[in-house]
Amino acid sequence: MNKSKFSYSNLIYVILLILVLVWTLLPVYWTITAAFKSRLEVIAWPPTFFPQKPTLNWFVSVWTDRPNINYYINSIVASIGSTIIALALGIPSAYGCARYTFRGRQDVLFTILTFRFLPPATVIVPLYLIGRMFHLIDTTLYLAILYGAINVPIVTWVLLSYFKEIPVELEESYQLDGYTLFGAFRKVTLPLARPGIVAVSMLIMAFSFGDFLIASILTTSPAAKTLPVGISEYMGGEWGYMWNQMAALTIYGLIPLLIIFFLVRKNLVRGLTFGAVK
Amino acid sequence: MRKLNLGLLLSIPALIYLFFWLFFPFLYNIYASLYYWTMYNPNIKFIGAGNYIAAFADIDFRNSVFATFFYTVICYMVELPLGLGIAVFLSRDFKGVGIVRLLIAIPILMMPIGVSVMWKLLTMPKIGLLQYFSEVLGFGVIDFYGNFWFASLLILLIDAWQWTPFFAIVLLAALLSLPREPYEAAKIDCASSFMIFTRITLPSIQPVIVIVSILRILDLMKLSDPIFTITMGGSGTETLSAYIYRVAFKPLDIGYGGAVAVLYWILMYVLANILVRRFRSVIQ
Repeated sequence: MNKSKFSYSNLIYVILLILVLVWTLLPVYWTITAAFKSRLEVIAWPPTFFPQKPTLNWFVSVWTDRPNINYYINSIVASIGSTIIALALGIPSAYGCARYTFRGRQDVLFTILTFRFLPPATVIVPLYLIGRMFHLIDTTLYLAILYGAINVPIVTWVLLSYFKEIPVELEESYQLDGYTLFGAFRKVTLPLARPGIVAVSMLIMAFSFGDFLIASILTTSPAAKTLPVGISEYMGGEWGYMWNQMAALTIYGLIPLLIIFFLVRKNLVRGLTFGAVK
Repeated sequence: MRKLNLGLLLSIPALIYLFFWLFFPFLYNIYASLYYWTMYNPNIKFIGAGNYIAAFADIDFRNSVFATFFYTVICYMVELPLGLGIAVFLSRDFKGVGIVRLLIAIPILMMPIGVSVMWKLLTMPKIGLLQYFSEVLGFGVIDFYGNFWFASLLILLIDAWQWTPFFAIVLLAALLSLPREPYEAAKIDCASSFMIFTRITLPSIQPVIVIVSILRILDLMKLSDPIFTITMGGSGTETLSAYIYRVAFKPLDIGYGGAVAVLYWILMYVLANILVRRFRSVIQ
């Protein structure tokens, strides 16, 4: 009896689902087609929904007509460097706060968290001056240092939630077997927390690949500029907006994150919420 | 005794690092804000609260405070309900739901600057697909780039496109982890699906909603990328982050930039404190 009503609500469901997918994927589709269209077609009126003469030209020329390959490498170096820094600082503090109770433990945790809320724009001028003083301006090292600092809070908080779940007894049994505290940590705790480490690494990488504000101020040459800065260089020069190249670079920037995302998707939510949602 | 100290000891490197790279620059701002001090002018002069007075007198500054709050509020008001709706949607089981759940995460992974550029391509007059739709539907050209309201609408569209999935993904995870029993009990009692949603589902995912809301609101307060690409801060769309970039960094006005940074930081500190107090009670 209810059958016809049931399929009616199903129809609405399918329509809404299609709407959500179109809304989400249309700009992605538009980016991809823009990278395949010719220079004239991308600004043609009316817009063409399918590339008339698909070309791979832009995917090749972005590597040759500007130092984008350097920018790409810089983005990768900065993201790996910042991940190492943030993990090296964040893991010990997460472990310390998960395993030991000490006076001011909550204050330490919340002090670290507040740095996540500091707008980078407020410290950018002093950081520029400090960078000049230490000759760090226009180096990927400086970007790695700062992206690392900005991402310490997420490492601390996400791994805090992982470490809390791993029983102390497990470590203690290894210590009874003659492992040092650090040995037991490396042997048991670290492997068990690996999903969390991988997930935060991806988020740090996404941050480092995405940041425009800091990179655009602290880098001035191909030695240190990153991919977002590379994209902005195709904006409004004497050639106007070079949509094709910007689209191709956007896709190149998406690919590594997409691959890593696919690997860590199960732990992503915990990373996104600072470990608050399991 | 030794055990007591190791925990703190392990946190000290992180704290020192954060204080040096992020808190020290902030102290530097406080000091600089009391001086008339620009990079290319050797005469540094103490002016007390002069920079702060200048900031409050600058209509662009007051405007950017408004714009920052305005975008935070409208983006949040759109993204949370939309994200929750999508999450409820995708918590159902159907063929291919797994792939849909993956696809909606793509916007989060894209470079914000690339996202803004592509939305610009979609909305440029006489180029963009959206303008084409608008023309076909008889609305004519939409002035996304010269009018505050339409420019704001575009900024909202961009931010909502990229970050609604954040709410959707996290809330979906929360929904999928809910125990089945209360639902079965409610079904036996013949509760309507609206009742089930407001009485069982919403209260049980409320802590998660609070957490994602706090994280998102504080991120929205830093909004800058779409402003740079879409309007360059014109038409009254300049946010605080974009304002600092223009008045402090471009002319390297260290003193004035410092004063604005201090005010911005106070604003964030007060807001974060109010919100994190909620966070603390929810997370523990």
